[in-house]
Amino acid sequence: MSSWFDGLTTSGIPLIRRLSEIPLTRRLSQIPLILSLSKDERRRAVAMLLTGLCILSHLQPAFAYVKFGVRVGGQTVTLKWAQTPARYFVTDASVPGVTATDLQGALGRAFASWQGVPTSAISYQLGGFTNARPGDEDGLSTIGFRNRPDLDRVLGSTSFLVDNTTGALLESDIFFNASFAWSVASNGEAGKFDLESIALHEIGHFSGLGHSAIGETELRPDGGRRVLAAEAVMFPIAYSAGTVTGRTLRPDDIAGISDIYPDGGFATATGSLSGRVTKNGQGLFGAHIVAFDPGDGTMVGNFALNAQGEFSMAGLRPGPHVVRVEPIDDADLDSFFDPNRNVDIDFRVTYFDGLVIVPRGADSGSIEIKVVQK
Amino acid sequence: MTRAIVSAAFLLTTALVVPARAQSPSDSATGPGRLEVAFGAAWIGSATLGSRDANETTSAGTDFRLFASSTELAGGSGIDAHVAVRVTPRLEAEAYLTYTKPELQTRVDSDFESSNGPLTASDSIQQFTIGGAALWYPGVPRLGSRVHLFVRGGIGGLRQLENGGTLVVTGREYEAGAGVKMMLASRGSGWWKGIGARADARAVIRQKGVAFDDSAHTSPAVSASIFVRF
Repeated sequence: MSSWFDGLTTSGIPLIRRLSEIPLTRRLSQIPLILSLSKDERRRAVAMLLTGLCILSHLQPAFAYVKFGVRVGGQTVTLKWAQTPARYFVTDASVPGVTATDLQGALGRAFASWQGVPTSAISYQLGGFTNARPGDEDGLSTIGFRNRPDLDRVLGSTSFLVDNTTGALLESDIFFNASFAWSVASNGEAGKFDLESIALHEIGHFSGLGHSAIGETELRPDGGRRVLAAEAVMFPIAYSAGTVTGRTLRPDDIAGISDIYPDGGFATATGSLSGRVTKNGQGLFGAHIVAFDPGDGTMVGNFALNAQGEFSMAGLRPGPHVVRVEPIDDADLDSFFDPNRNVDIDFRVTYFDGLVIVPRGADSGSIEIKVVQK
Repeated sequence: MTRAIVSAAFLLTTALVVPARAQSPSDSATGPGRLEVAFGAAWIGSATLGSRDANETTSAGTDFRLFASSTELAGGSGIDAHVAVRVTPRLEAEAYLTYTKPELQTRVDSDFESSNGPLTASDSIQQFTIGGAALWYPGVPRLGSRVHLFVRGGIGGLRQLENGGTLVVTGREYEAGAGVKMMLASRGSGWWKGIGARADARAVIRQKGVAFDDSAHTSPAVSASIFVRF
């Protein structure tokens, strides 16, 4: 059994770094993780902690979008709920301006947005209110507020409990940091973060999605980053307080959730695009690739996730696509990659010189995009 | 004043129609033979398919352009073939096949993160059109006994193969234009009746296919062919 965290920050300072300051392994080893599991699961389970760093080293390179993977039997399998609907419980605690009922309502709307994706089969079910806390390994997926003033740039966080033998999600908890001001107003409230927007991001993690890099930021004087724009709910840095713009799923999010939980015709109705990014003839790890559909203006992104610089994106509308490659520079690299990995960001934004035709229900065939130093 | 215009129009129409009536509804109207087979070259001009920006969304919900794009189906040359049957002395029905290999081109510029100039990404597609058309020989103006002007309108099915055929899209095509046929040789007996040359100029209206929307995209087109009458 494995447990780890991922979260949404206000400024690009990754949750991972914060958590690394806490003796997580010891803390979790003191928690009787396996008590909530069956005898068989207890026998199979191996209690260990993986932080987001470990997750990201297991990002799936072979499929669309950025989704979590788990090492099982020497192979990486997609992290997902083995059975749906995924059941969740809402804490009965409230914070100023948001009652437990308000929390339940905002979560219900956010879950409904993901469940409403027509090409995805994911579904969720409210189990009811609970007095358990998010983060308790109790077999219940619990969502609620926790007061974490120490995480002064973390708005929310998602943790996972995974069966190491199958890669299936057993439990996923989400907490929203009560040390921030929250709102559930339909049009948002100045100075308060929109709970539904942040919940939408965290539920993406809850469902198995990682971070997307389709967004632009600018540096702030304090070293953090401010979002100029984003085109993915799963962008790791939140919009500023007061806005409700983050309540709408984008094509990148839709491609990702559909890839993990494909509905009947998804695989045959869409196609994939694959290739590799090279610099001076060598594969380039960590390049961010965006497939742009000039027909409808949608963008879907992924990374080159191995030493060969290979990438793949599924869930694309059949037809021509423009492929653009850029270095990651709109968030800390730690938001996406294991800091021990050597991510090369010293190259220019580059477009593939051909239009890539994505076929229906198949792959475009591999392309090579050659980038040059800045 | 109005009466004068109507009268003038009537006289002009009469002047145009009378010579045609004077012609015989026999082979001499458009040349010998009843069945015509033509084979030649065609060129279809470009069609603008539209512009799209790669937009992200700001905190205020407005668009933030990452880069701009505009796409067109470039002009392309190919081959075309016609099989026509004379229905009346001045009307022919024909089936036609056109094959061209134009490029689908997307021009990208104004990248927010790059000062590089515009870039054009392209892919070659194969385009087949199979359709039917009607040719009407008005009979005037006369350009000699061997030259025959015609107007033409047709409708066809469009089949476009992208990436060597890994993606096939279909659409419709409408054509309207005019042309000229000139008899180069003719004979009264034998299995073929005559040989001639044909030139067309027309507007090609393509709908769907590689287009991003359902609207009509109009392009100029010309073709030249050699025909044989039977």
